Amino acid sequence: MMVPADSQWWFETVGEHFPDGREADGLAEFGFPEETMGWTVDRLSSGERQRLALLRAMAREPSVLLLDEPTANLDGAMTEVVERWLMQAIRKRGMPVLWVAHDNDQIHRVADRHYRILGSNLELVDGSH
Amino acid sequence: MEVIDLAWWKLALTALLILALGAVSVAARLGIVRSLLIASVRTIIQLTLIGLVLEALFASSHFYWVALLAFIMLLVAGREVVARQQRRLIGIWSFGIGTGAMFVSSFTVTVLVLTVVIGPQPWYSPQYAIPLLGMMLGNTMTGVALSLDRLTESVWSQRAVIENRLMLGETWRSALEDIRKQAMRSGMMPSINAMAAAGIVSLPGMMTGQILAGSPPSIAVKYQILVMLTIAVGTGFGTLIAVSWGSRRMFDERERLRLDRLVKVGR
Repeated sequence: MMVPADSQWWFETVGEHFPDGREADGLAEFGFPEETMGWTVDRLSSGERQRLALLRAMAREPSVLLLDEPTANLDGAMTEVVERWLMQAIRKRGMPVLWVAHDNDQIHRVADRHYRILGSNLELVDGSH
Repeated sequence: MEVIDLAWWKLALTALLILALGAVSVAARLGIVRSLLIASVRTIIQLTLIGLVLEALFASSHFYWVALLAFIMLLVAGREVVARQQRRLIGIWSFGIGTGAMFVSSFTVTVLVLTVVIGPQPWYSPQYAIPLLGMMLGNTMTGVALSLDRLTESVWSQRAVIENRLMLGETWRSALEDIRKQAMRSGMMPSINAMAAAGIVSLPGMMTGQILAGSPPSIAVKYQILVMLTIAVGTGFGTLIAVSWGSRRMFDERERLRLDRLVKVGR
């Protein structure tokens, strides 16, 4: 399952995008009130969309995750909140994740292994630690 | 009851009325006079020719002549489906899917009606087979063309949403669910509307023709009911087949959206 930096929303309300009958984890941690599920999609800001897109993907219980700049539209404090929540959820489920990022500090915080794309080659920067 | 034959010079009178309409639209600069005249001339020529063909066909009524005419009608309808799409599948697919869907639904329903419901001797008797097939094909063609056009257009404009749904692990079927529904709807709407308005708002053309030709209205009405129901069935199955084949073709065996299989037709 992949979460792109720019998410699409096709139903009218936020809740319709989540699997039926499941309480979405992480709403409160990401700073959303409970009635968020009833919000219409067009009132969401880009940062809210990005956070909700992460929750939406996690609620579908992926077995492997590809994250493309999951914190691109978030400010510093929220970035750390999201990182922490994601790391916790990923560790808990023991899920392999490919995390694409530009921010070197973030890579150091979250990655077990760090590859860099150079031209058309993949180069190992940092092994497991 | 005797049918009043129309003299050619009386038909020419109605053609004069078309010319009058054309003159008015030239004066008012409506810019439709060209297509109006071309369409009128086409109607006259095409219907005269099909009249001759049908006369000859009724005289011989061999199975292979009926089949040949049916086949030509199908191919022309297939071409028309392709021509009515703004974005279509590349290669033979657009024509193939449209024609295939029309073949499966129109021909099956027509043959079923001929053999089981009406039962002329022989069952392919052209007096029944050709008009029935013509009405089935004409309406199925509209349904198939509308639905395929809607399908390809929506897939194109909502490609980002489809891709995102695929990314979330949905199958191509569920990623395309809403679009398929809309495409089905727009294909079926004309038949459904026609059935709902029949007899109250409009007297359907076939029934009107039969009554003009001297049939008792009670028989004409029965035929009209038969035709409208079978048209709805034929259009429904045709649209269903076209939408499901068409949407399958938008994705490859790895369920990736393949927009490169669509081409925009300049109009």
